[in-house]
Amino acid sequence: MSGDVVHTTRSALPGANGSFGVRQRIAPGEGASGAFTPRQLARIDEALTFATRESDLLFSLFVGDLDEPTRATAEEMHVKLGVNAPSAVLIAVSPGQRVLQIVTGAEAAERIPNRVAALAALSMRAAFSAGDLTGGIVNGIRMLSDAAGVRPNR
Amino acid sequence: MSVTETVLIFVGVPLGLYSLAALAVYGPTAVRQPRYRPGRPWDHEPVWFLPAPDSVQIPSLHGHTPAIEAPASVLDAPVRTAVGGATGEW
Repeated sequence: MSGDVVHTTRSALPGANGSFGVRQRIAPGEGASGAFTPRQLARIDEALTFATRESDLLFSLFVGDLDEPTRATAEEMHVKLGVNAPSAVLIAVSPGQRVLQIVTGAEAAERIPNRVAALAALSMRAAFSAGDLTGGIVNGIRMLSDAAGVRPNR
Repeated sequence: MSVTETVLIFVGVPLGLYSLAALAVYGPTAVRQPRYRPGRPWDHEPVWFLPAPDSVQIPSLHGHTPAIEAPASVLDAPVRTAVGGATGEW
């Protein structure tokens, strides 16, 4: 498969200057704090990598608690993607609070209209409320990258 | 047939069969991680996933740095990069 998911905890976020700080590679068979099985991680990795490669938008996923107000927190996290922020799509899922936020940057918002993001959010909500966290995440990423299409200048 | 043999055959064999069936039914569930259920607290570490830098072309992941450092005042100013998106609750 492509590569490993790069995962970083909230305290070691990518810096505002666009340089990515401490990041950890998840070796196959080593779960990310037990939230996902290696198989689920591989599915998420595949979805994120293909979506990013195909659309040339940076797809990023956060799973964990978001401080209230959750929208503002997700937007702050989007800022931390630095130089990539305009072309970045951040999907923040908080299973504990049962909230999901999709944040798009300027270029990303042009290619993924808000109604498409809302549709992806709807499909993710349906999967999440059935307890299918990974399935919802993977399908949401696919819907968003399908809407974005292939990178325009290639 | 002695008493021990009778007990072994008529109690031990059914017990063994029942426990095999129970193991086959409940074993995989016990080994597997507890799955997410809506409404339960989420006590896992927060994780932030980014695509693997080797497989995608992301400028800042390939050691690209801006030629000119932004002045501190620009960095301190409240930045907002979010333009659109969606919110959902379940």
